[in-house]
Amino acid sequence: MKFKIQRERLVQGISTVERAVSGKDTKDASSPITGIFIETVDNQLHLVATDLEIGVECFIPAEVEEIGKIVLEGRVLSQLARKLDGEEVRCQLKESGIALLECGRARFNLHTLPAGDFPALPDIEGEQMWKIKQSDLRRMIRQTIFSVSADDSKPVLSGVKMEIDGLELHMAATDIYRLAYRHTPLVNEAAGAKAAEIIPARALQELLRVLDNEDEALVEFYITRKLAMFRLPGVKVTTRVIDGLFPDYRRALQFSDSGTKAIKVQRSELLAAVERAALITSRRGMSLVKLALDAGEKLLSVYAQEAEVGQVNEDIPVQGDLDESPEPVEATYQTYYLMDVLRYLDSDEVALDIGDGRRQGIIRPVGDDNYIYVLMPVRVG
Amino acid sequence: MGRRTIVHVDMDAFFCAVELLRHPEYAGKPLVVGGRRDSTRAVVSSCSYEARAYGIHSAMPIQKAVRLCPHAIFIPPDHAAYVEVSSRIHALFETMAPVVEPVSIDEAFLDMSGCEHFYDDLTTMGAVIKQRVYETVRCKATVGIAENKLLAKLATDLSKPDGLMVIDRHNMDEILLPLPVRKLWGVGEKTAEQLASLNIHTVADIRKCGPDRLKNLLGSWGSAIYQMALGQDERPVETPKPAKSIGHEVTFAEDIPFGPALFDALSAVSHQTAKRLQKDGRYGRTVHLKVRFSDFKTITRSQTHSEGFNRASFIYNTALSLLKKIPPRPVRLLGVSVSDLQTCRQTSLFSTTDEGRVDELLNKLNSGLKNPLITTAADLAVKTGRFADQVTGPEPPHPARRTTYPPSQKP
Repeated sequence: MKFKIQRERLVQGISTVERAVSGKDTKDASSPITGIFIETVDNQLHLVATDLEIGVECFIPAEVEEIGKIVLEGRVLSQLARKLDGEEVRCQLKESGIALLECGRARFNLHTLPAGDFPALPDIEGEQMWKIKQSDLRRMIRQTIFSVSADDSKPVLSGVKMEIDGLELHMAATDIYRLAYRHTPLVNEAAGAKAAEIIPARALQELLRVLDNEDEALVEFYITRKLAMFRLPGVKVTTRVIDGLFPDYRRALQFSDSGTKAIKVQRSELLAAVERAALITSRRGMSLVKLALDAGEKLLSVYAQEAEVGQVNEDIPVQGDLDESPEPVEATYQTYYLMDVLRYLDSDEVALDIGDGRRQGIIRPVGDDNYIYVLMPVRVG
Repeated sequence: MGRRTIVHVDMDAFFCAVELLRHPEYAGKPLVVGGRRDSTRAVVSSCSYEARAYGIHSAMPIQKAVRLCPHAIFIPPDHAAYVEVSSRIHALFETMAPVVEPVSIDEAFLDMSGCEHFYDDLTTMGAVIKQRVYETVRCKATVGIAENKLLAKLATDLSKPDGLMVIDRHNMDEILLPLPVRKLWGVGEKTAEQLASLNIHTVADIRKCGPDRLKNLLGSWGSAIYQMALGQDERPVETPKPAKSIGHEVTFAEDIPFGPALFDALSAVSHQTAKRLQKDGRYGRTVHLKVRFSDFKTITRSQTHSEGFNRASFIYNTALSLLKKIPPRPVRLLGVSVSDLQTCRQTSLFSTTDEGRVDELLNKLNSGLKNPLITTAADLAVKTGRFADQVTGPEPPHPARRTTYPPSQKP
């Protein structure tokens, strides 16, 4: 095996797949999944990395002189590729199982891992793939993935529920205290085929890195009971789905549409106010902010206090059809439950229903009916 | 420590005074709060000064009080009402003093250091406090002012009821020296007897005796008594800090073999712990189990949850799973406590029962009660040891030799 490749392309390819390399320092140091698999295919390099949970592969143009395949230790390869100094990288597998890698004046002799043992990524063949715009999927992931649970003891909550009802893709993520949900029409309707599985957040994070923001580019995908696969030009992300029962998120979305209670507020203003509030409360325990609506004055008060630090209040102007005889409404939330969603929405304004301190609060981007964020308050005292 | 101005405020016959607000017809009559006159087990919580004239005092069995003064009015206590008035008094203190330390429902220390210039003199300060208390709750208070807690409390003791006394450097010895030793903080019958054996009866005697002999007799407690006799006390007035953990433990009269009877006892301590959590309106995240075996070897185990809890059934189940992982040997002491305490709880989108609403309802129903009357079925099962009963049948609970709670506050 022997090839030449532009250094930049190699770095790009490696950075696409490197996070799928098994992070576990496996007991078996020679296990090939700690490495990146490189195979020559028709003037391209096929790069693959997997931890057996998720797999990422990509194709990059190269000048192939001799066909073959090698596996190079992942961390070493990704670090040295970035440090190389030169336009072109030349790589050659010598008979001794050592790979010679040259760039500029540097010559590396690298031990390879057994390429024959590298696991083949499962493929989904023969199914018609669903198609969706890359920019749409990108937005869906960005605006839901932050709501997955960080609690390792609840694996089903470490993923995003993806449902295809034949016409649309629905994505929901929750840690049981808040829920982010978005739905988007598919580009093709894929003969009404349906699916509903939990996709690991980590896989979606990898996918997010390669999805294009450009409007027209498409991503093809398919989800089975065991696997999900996403295919973009030159890149494929494969992942196991998470086995288990996802909370009935549609139940959390069933509430009487209290449209009259929703107020409109500038997203960046609310975000900045909550971020300032979080500064004084981000200590041990929960970081809490109290939202209180003064319908008469059309002001939303953002208040936080911390016993040994101090307190802060900020009044933000709001718009909307506010109740004529307003009961003072207030509710306390964890600051990051508000900051997360406000950071990832795109709209200038958000419609905010702060709830009443007992029931859920609701945040939606103004002018975008496909997204909804529901968060539960913190009971104080 | 610089010169301080410490105020001790003690409400006069507080429970009676609150009752008099609602029952002005009791005024001027001997009134006993604690239980009805036919009550066989209640004791006197508070009694009016008219009742005290008959020799009635707090902690006396009601039946004895009935014998001493058959025509007195006997009423059961209404704790909620006293707490309500007490919280209004406390709120008033917060507006008057930089540091307030509530001692009990009817007593508090105020550190007024630095506020002296608001008043003509300390006597005026005391008079203003008395008056503001009366204006706020229509109950009378006795106020003692001195440069430390010891002397301030002494001043109220000596001037009750409706009194006001300032102890300063000029009158301190005059007041202090003739006092019997029992008037000093923490000097009880036993210490008084030991002192009497040295022919020490008054504070003046302590001064004459000197620190060394007292220390020989009573150790460090002797030194403390000598300090008090000098009228010295450095303890600061402190805002109470919330406890870091809440719990309950029990030492058994006889070691309990590992098995259903032990689980029974575990359910009882879990229930006590939950009761205190709920009373404080707090939620814990970590359950600690403490087990002392018959050979005094003590082990602790703990488990942290991602969500706050305050339910007996939850605490019991966690503690039980911890208990079942330890060596099955006879147990001498069993304790459960809860830490990572929070006063707030993140509510869930998917709870099947609306726990928050249940909590709220329970709080309302049980508000002001010393012992919550209403609880959930699951918690009741824990309280009554139903889990263990299913295995053992109804067995009398093991008598507790001693219970202390919370364990962390044990002296």
